[in-house]
Amino acid sequence: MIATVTHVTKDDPTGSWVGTAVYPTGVKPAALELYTVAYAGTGADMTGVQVIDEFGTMSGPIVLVPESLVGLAYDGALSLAFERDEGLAIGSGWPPVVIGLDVRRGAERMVAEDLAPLFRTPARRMPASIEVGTRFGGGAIGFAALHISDRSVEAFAIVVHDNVAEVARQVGVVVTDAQLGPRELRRLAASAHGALSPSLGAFVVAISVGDPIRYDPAQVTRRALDGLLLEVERARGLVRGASAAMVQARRAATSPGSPS
Amino acid sequence: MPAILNRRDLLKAAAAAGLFPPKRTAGGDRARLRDLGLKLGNLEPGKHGAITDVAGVTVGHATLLSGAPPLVVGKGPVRTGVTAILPRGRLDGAACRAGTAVLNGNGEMTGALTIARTGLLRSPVFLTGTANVGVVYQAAYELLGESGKGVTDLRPVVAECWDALGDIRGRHVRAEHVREAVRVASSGPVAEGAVGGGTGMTAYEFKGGIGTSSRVVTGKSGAFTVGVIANCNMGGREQLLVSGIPVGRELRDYPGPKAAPFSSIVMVAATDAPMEGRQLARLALRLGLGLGRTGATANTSSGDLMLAFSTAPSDGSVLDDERLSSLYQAAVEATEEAVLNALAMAVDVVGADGELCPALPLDRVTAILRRHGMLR
Repeated sequence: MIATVTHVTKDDPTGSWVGTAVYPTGVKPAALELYTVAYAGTGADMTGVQVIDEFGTMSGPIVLVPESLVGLAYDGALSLAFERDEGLAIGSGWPPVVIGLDVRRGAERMVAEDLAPLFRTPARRMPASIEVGTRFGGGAIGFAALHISDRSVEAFAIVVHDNVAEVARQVGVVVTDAQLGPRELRRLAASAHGALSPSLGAFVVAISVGDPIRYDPAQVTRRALDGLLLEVERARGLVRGASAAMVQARRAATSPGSPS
Repeated sequence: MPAILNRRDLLKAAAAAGLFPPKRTAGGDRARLRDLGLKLGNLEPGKHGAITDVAGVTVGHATLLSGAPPLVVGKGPVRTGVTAILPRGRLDGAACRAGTAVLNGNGEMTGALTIARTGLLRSPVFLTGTANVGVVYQAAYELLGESGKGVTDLRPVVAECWDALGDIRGRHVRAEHVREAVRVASSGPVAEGAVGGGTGMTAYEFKGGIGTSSRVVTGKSGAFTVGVIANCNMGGREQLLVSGIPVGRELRDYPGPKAAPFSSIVMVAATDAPMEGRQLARLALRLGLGLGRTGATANTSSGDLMLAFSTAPSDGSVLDDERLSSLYQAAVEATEEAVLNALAMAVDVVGADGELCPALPLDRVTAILRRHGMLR
């Protein structure tokens, strides 16, 4: 396993989805770390875009939250970055990378405290394949994680269905320990985007936890990259898993007697 | 006070005493360079020489400026704030066409992917310090949600610079300050210098911050206005050019702050010309040329981020590309003057480290410009 995932739902009868944080190399609050990143798709907005576009790098967790919580999540991630380096040095986790999923806000308001576990608790290492179904204010959410090949690629997909707006959003995060640069990662993200359902509005971030300083495009063999692309392409099972989890959550949300 | 103190001693004494804010800055009374007789560029500015010359655009500042060194995280000194630019003077989520550009991407401007995807801006543009982005975003989202019900793609646009003069980690900006900046936003003259999101900024190793200007372009089919506002936190002393004259080099001996130079600048342009997103992204890129006229070179540590929006009604009309060049000229000239207005209007501010960040000494600048034949 490369990455760790923290998945937070509200600790009350509503069980609303608060957010998901993917730590590409695990949580190391004291360490500075930098990885290579690229993205594909238009199904979501993301903070930290200018640094990713300019340098092809990011640090800190990738945080996925409902659009209504982006500011709070950004502030939480910033606190984590300040803990790592008071000047927000490269590798501290600045700028925060927060992806807002375009879903109607839940009935209840969240406060910073609700999001704190995303940044505070050590991330749980997810099993190779897991499905999480939960419902939020006006819809349902499905989450699936997949370990694609032996130690080389992990992928996470989150599918959010908004019952009110009747739209679904899909966000994928792909993490690999292959030594790839932004160009190859853009292809990887586009490949994973194809495995999602772009008509519903998808967005994928692809990350290499290899050392960005040691990256040399001449060392990336075409065969190795093609192999990775194929494997990510096969990740359709991931979406099916996330969708199944979402359906389960929707059913729970709409069944009689369920808490409202 | 001893009679033989020179200016350097005065500055040091002011810093040591924590004098803040000074009634009269050591750099002299503040004035825009145009009011001192310096005309930059070939085009004429609008009525106020401000982004608000574009009809409908309003600007409001919430300025947080209090306390003296030493630095105590969470307490101060506080040198930060928020500036809100409302494209249509209101918060209802009504769309403006918009585009963004980046000269060097070591910075943050939220909502940029939504602008890239839709070519539209539905939020005010907020300028603030690096540590306040999350708080400002959240407050803006809630404000927009209250007044823009049912509107999708309400992504707040919040752009930052590292306001090193104050207690950054204290994150002193609160939701109430965001609401205040929006509430007090108005058309007409715009306060400049150490105000709003520019309160804690340093440019060319002088006190920087907010500056604004505008240009009017006249043509056969009527006049268009381009207005620019910038939050200036970039550049080293020796880079500073005023009207092409290496003023910064001649002010080498003038005291400066100890804080590291070469941080960021955020530049925002407004126009009433009916331009669409791609054209506006191209206009936004030209703001970097205006910045270049003042000497900065978009350092690798710098977030030089630009945004341009059009207030023209979305009635399907789009400006002919043939007319863009004169608007580019307007944007470049307005940016150059906006950056210099920030320096000219900023007052001395004592930084968190106890060092004075001096205002640009206008008496010396005008003397240099006279010597080079740029002023009578």
